[in-house]
Amino acid sequence: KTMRLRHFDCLLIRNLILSILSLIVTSTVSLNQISAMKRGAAAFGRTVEALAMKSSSSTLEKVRSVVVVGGTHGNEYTGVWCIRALEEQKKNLKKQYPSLSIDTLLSNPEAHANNQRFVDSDLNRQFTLEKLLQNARDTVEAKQAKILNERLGPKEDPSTDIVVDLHSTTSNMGISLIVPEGDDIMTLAAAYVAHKCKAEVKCGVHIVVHPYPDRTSRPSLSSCGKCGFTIEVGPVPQGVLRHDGVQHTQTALRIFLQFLQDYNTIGLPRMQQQVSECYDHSQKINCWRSAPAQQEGEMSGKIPWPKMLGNFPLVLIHESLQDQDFVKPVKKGDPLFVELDGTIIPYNGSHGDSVHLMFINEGGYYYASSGSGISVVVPTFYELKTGKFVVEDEPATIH
Amino acid sequence: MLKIRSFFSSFLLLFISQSVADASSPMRVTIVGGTHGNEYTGVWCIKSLDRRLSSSESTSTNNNNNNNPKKLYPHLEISTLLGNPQAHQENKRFVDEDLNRQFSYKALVEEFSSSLESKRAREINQLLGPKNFDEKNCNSDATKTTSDVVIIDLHTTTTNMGVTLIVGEGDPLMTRCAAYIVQKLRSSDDNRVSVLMHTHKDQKSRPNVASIVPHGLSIEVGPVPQGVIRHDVVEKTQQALEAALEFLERTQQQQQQQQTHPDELEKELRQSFPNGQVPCYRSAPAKRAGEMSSKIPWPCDSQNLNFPAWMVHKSVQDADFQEIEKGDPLFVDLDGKVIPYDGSHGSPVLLMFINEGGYYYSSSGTGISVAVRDKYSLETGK
Repeated sequence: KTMRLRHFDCLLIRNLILSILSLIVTSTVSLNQISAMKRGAAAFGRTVEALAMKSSSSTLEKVRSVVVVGGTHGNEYTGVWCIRALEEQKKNLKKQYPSLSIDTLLSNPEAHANNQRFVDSDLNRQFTLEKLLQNARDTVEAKQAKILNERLGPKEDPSTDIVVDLHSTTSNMGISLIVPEGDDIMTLAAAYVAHKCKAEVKCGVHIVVHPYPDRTSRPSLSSCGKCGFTIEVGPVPQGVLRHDGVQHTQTALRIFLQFLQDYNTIGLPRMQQQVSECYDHSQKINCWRSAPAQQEGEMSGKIPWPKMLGNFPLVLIHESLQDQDFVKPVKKGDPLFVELDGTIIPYNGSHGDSVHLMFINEGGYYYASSGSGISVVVPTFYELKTGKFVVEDEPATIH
Repeated sequence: MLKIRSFFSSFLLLFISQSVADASSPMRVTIVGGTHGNEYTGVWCIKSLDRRLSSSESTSTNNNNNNNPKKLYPHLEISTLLGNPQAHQENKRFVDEDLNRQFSYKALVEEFSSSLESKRAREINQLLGPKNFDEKNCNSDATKTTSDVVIIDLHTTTTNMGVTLIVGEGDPLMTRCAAYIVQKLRSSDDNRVSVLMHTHKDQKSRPNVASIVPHGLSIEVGPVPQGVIRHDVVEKTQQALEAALEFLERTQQQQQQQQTHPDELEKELRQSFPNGQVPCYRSAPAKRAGEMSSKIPWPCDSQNLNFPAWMVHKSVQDADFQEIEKGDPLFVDLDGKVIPYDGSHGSPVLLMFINEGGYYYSSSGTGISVAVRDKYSLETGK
């Protein structure tokens, strides 16, 4: 509790500074000064409220409101199908998960109608507190983010307990459960879902942890709720519905909702015990830690495309790496890219002598708005109880 | 038998030579990529080809020179064309409507649409054609020296069709070309390669880019997602393309030498297809507006006509060129209920383009394509 209070001290100071700055910035603009000041004051007020309330980022005793989101990337059709299917099942959901109030949400309807990943900018990068407080409405997605923030959040003090965001990828990532570092409920859920999924599916199942311990700096839509969980399934082409992709998504979602229901029934300590038993009583869960973001637009660190023509890469990913997400590391000197004339560009060791990759040839990552390139990951562990990375002397083995 | 065979092959050569430009002038070949703007493979391949073509004009290493199409194929005049630049820029299949359906008589001449693709079709028709809709003359455009003679249109599909060479019926040059590519590619590992013959009754009803000129071929490779370029798919496309160019080059060479040298190409083709017949798939004739060939349609979401209400069942997914029977699982609805094949196209039925992303659009003809097994003659292309 002492630790959390200190954390909130920093959070408050940071948010106060941001609120003041936003007040100053908005008030120097000649138009709408009064409404800008009102907005700044409202943000300030919310921040103070947030401090007064209990922790909004972890250890909810019970979870109640759950929103299942699809179509955050408009051409990822799987999620849209799944939320439609859920809508058909509303009555059954109440029976299956009586402690949960489950809603669905199509988050980027305009992009979805156009079968585009996004109209102007990646919606799944619009949700840092900074961006939301800036109140920019210059792109379709920036506007939509504000609307979603009101519906699911607000970010400083969310009304929604759990936001689960359904995504698909053109890369061979099987079922990847993406959670943020330090969210103890969501990392526990990921461990539970991964274990149960493996018993039901033949594809790879992976836990990916993004190193964003501070929820306010997370750019993803799912960070709008108190807890966020992303289900990423692949390979599925954009703008296409694959039955196996849908089933994998629905399996992971079903088990996730069951986790929440059980969590409400038996409470955190017993849930932690139960999950630990799935991992031979270990207190460490193996996962993949994404590299820290470096380029503009990216959620996590990538090897960028060395040459682009607009959104068209002027290199191919070498076939020896295609479909090798999580499986085959690339070592310095290994073939990485291929140029138009067939010349091979080897991996130069920029992220380390030997690195694992994910989102290998993800169609969305041809776009700077999403952070273009191939994602880099490191096999490691997190603590079952806290969701924080374990600092190890030796590198984790890959399971 | 040998004498009769060589007589027929000489006759065939003569027939073919009537249908191409004068043997002393090079055969014009235009390679088109990005007819569907989000089929990135074709765009990559034409960019790569452009680079090789322009490398001859600068001082380059020996490697580049050996790779130069001008040296490899001296009897061909090769050019490239980006089919739908606007759609490609936006990473869309098309902006308003499918460009690859704009070249029928109805679309190009009768109905004047202001769509982007309709305008582009007229531009391309000027560049590469103009298309001769007269059925009798469709194989003898030799006099039109200003028009291209061969179009090779590069496509990809999200479906598991491997390498599929798409030709129209009755063109011996390109159907022999397709057979040659099959022969060449089958000798390498892991290369599923098929010939698909569309059976439009005449040039007027053929709606695709490749139909602008007398001799057209589409190279369709999958599976690859839209808006993505895969190294292996690029390689397969390039292999098929190089085999096509090689065949055309050798055909041109042979014409020049026809009196003095035996028909080597014919001999080789006969090794793979001893009775002169090439196994292929034949698409069922189109029934609905927008489709190139007949399909089993799916219903669409009432709020979004480009979003299916039924999903392709996993037992059929990736099973292109395999048969299903009436009663087999075909689709799945939102509740997970299985919808079986109703036998509407006969039973058993052979399916292809199973879950092609482009066929979520009525402009391209929604649904799963239907085909039958058939064969065509090397001599007549029928």
